[in-house]
Amino acid sequence: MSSIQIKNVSKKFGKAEVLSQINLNFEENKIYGLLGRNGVGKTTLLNMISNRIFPTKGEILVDGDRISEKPAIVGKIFYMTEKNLYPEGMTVEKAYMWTHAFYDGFDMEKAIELSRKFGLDIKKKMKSLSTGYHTIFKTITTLASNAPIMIFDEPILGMDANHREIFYKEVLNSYIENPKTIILSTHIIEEIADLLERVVIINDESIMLDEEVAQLIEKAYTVSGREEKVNQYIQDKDCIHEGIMASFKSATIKGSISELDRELIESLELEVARVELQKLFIYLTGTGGKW
Amino acid sequence: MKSTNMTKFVIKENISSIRGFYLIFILIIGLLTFVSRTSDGNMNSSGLEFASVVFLFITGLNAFKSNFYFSQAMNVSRGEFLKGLILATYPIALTMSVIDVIINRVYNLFIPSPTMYDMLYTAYRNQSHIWDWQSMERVWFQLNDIGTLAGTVLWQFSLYSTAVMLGLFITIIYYRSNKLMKVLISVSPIVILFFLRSLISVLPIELWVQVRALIDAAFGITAMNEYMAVLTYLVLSVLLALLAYLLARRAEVKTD
Amino acid sequence: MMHIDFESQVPIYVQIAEMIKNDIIKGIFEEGSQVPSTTEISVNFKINPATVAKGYNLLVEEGIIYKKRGVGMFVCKDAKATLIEIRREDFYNNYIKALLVEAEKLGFSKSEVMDMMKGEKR
Repeated sequence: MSSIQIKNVSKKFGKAEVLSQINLNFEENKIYGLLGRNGVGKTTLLNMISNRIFPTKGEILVDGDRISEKPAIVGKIFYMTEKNLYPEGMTVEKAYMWTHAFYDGFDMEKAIELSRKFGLDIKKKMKSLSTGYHTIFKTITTLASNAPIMIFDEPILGMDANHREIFYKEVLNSYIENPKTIILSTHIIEEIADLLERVVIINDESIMLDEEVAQLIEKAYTVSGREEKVNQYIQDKDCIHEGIMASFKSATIKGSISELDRELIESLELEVARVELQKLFIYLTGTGGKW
Repeated sequence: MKSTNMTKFVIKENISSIRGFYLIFILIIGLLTFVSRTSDGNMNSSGLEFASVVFLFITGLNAFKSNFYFSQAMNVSRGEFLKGLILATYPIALTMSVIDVIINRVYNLFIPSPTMYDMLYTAYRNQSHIWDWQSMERVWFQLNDIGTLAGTVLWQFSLYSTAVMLGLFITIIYYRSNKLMKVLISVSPIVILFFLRSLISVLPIELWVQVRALIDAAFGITAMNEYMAVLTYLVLSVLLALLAYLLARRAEVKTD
Repeated sequence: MMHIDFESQVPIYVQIAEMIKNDIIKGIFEEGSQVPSTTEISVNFKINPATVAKGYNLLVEEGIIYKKRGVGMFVCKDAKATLIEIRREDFYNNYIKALLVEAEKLGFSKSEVMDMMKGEKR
């Protein structure tokens, strides 16, 4: 089992409230996207899930057990964080060996194979790894951990296109081989949009939306065409975004298209298109965005 | 077991610094021996193992942060982590205590050198000198019977453990403190020392007499009973370990 | 295999089903032969396995492919014929209608379109 429940969690750092009244469930055996702009609190939330910091209010449960009561339960989670928690002078190889000692399921061979694929020199010390390779090291460790809950925080930061390709494939392979809960936290969305089953967007200290990706895509669409005609169409609609280029206008609308809508679109000679997750994210998390 | 692995980790991480410490230590006392040989041979040195106490105290001061972070990376609970950390101190303290006794006995082949234990609990107390100034004859010789050796190892071991725990305790307080507290803690030893003189004269003499008697009894000084001291040290180290645990339970990983 | 169009209004799982159907019609996957596993599609196109499974379920429901326990997914007998029949029925809606709309937009008359089809260009 590998589910996480976050109940009414708030977090304050000194006087600043970073997250407020977060209620969220991560069900087991799904790939989640945790999306949000830089600094919105994704890492804070993940740090609380893995018990590295404590909520100011509220509580978190893993598989029904409160972390505050049964702290050992975080052993089910493997979380790589931006901050380096390994001793500076430790080599990558040693780090793998220690992780293997602490995590029964850690696949040493896989870690070495992935290191080769990513071009990571396992004899290198933590302190001499570049930022990019640091991320790669942590990604590999997480992938090889085989933990029931795997959390990746900005895993593709600094990875080149080839490495990203390898990463996505490895995540999928790991997920298919052994169903588990995977949380990918990032603000770079385009490439992972179709990997995800559910997406959670954090904005303004709270959860903006928590949906199945397939359903989310059905809940919004973009119409485009001549400006006046688009304006006519969007009069009574919930409009998330509008963009104008000369007399060409496109508008993104929240909602689904009814029969009547379809007829109107045809008569107004508008084009309809799906909204990409990345674009939807940008519109919703821009200034004044709301869902 | 996660705490056992934690213990292994802590010990392994410290091996090189312990090795380095002994290397330097032996080098220095070797130098001292050489120097004394070339002078008129009246040198003596005592309580050299105090260096180990200082070393272990400092080790304790450095023991929290990096080990804590590492335990968090391995998703080990705070309880397991501290258990592992504390359990690591005792083998280290014991080993160093034994090594120090060995070093001391070897050193005594060249230069008379009583240990702190010798100075407190053996015949050295009554003589208080190694040389008789009148006859210029050596009066004290190092004891090598099982009783003395065992007593020394045990007493040093418990002192060393307490030194580590004290360092650990202080560093955890420091870690958990905000800026203001940190300043207060850093400044307090100086402030206390500064006011100690006036403090002593202000409080009634009886109090100081009682304090002195308490320390004497706790460490078995007048009674020349080292086991009393061992008990005191062990109680202290357990107390400090407990306090450290309570503090560590709410320690957060610093995210800035 | 075609690529998946992430812009299209058509849900991904439907696109996956269509993709397999196209390849069956083209003869790339013959009747009785194996089609790619959900894992292969998932990893190669970087799509969540649940989505791929949904697309495959469509195909199973429509009787286009079947599952052989422990081995994989295979093309049903007569699948190609079935698909072609369905495509024939939809031919008018999917191609002809759109062609006529476009032709009207561009100002072609029906007879001009007929001539083009006969191979005579004006």
